[in-house]
Amino acid sequence: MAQHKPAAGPSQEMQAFIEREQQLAQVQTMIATLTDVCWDKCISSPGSYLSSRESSCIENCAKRFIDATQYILQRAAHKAQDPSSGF
Amino acid sequence: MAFGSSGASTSGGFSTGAHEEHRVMEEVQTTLRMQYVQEFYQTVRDKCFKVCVTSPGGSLSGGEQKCLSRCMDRYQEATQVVTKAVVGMQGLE
Repeated sequence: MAQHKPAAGPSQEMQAFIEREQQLAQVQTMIATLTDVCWDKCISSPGSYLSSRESSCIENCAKRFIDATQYILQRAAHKAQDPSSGF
Repeated sequence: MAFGSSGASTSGGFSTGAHEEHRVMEEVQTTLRMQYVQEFYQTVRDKCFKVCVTSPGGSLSGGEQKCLSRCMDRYQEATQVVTKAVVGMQGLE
């Protein structure tokens, strides 16, 4: 009965906090990357407002970047299973 | 290990660390938010400098300043467009 207390570690609340913040950081990083890439692709000179054309370019760009990410990951997984691929 | 006493004895007591933990969480959150804002504006500065100050003169001209303001606002808007697009896509999964 010597070890009565649970090992002192982060509380459940703290663990939930860390998880939440990690998820938020991940989403923020993704959004920052997408904006960075799509800004360069879609905006040549910033006007006094974002035109509908620029706006839809950014939207499409962001969505297709995510599609491309998934596509490449899938293909990479496929290649990883194929010993002749060299990976 | 099912002792009859196990439930009642400890469950009520707020550990003395809880207060400290809350303080740490708040501090971490503040730091993370500040870091995010800082990184955001660093990106804005890089992007907008590239677009607006194409041939740097002796001072930042009025035109360049206007361009920087516009660019800042547009970059923020672009971030919102991307955020909406991403959130919309995640909803589909």
